[in-house]
Amino acid sequence: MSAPTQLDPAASPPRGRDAPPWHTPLALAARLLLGVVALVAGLSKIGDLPASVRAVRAFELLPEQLAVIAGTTLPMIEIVLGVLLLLGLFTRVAAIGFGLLLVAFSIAIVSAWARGLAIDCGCFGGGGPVDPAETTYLQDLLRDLGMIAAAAVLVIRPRTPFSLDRSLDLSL
Amino acid sequence: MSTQGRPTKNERREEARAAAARMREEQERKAKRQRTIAIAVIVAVLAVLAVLIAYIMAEENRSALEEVELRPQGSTMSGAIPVGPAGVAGSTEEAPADAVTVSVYSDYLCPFCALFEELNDEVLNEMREAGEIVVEYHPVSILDRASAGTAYSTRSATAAALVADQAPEHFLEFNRLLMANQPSETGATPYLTDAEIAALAREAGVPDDVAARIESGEYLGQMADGEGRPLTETFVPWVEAATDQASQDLGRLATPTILIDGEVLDVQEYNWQQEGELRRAIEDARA
Repeated sequence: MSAPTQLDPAASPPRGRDAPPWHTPLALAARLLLGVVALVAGLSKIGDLPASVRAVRAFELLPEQLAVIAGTTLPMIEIVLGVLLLLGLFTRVAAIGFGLLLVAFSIAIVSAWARGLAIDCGCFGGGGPVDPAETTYLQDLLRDLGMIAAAAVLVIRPRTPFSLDRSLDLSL
Repeated sequence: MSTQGRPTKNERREEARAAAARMREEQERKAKRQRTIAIAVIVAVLAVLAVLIAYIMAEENRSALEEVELRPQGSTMSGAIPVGPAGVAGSTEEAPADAVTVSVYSDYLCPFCALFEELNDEVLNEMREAGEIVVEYHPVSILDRASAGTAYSTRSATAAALVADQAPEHFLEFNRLLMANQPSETGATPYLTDAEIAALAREAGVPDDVAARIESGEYLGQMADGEGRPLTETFVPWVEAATDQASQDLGRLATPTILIDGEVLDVQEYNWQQEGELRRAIEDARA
């Protein structure tokens, strides 16, 4: 009798069969959540890029020229990452990218908080100085940390249903 | 199956088949990897293009004023100092939503600007206080060369910006006094000295510490550090950027230029030198 064709271990789906069953819906939820948040954040800022630059400037972290570049390019970067995540295309790369952005945002928020600045994070448009009583650093930070966790889930388990990664059968 | 050292014919055939299958697997994996890389390259190029295009478009639309670090509080990104019903520079909060915006581009050395101010100040104030209009003052500097080397246009506009920022409730009166005391372009001294400008500021009610910054010349920020950055706060860069922005927005920057809700006032139709004409133009725009 012929032996079954030997499969290279790398060719079998990684971590596929033995992952607990709740992993898949969790990763799918993480992908859709991050995608929507990134897309909404980008779209809410792209219509008024000068305001986005002012929001970055208000953190007083970046030198002027970098603040202009960051404020101008961030909204489109968020839109691109949001679209990739929603499509499930190169999910792991997109999750790493958005995760790193979120880490940077969290550092910026902590730093603004620690320095006693009274600003709006401008996370979803707007930004700049606000009344000291109206700062929402803790909420913003918790939200970002939650999304970093979601990004981590996707980095570990990027294969989710309804994704282009899967339907295009990309080797990742 | 045979357990002898020499493989049988059958075993050799099996082995060859397995080897062929492995090769096919290998090739398929390679093809799949190449396809993935190709798609990744396309997606990456599209993503970079999108970001780049957004950046370039933003750069082209960017107001020169965005670069300026110090702007009078409440000033607009078109380089205007807006004044609402309360008569305080930079504050238009109390203005009704349907108020018409009247923009006045003027150079403090331009005779027709002084004439416009003299003839129409009252109408503008009246309609502004009634909440019918918001007046946006655009101090621009285009006549520096006509002031015997003293850059009077820039100095006066910078002083106006300083007052708008530091003593906003006295801006209107200071603006009026600068126009009313305009030096003659053709006279022996086609300029006011810093001390004379400071005196007008004091007359307008500007606090002494602010007026003193004009008198000492500190407001021009001419003391610079090693890299040419001014050591004292100055609105000179703002005046330059606001002038540049005005020329971009108007195409041809002449003073005075009056805009009513963004439309250039047609002086053929509404001659503001005649009484009631400016009001008529504004009321036509409101209708």
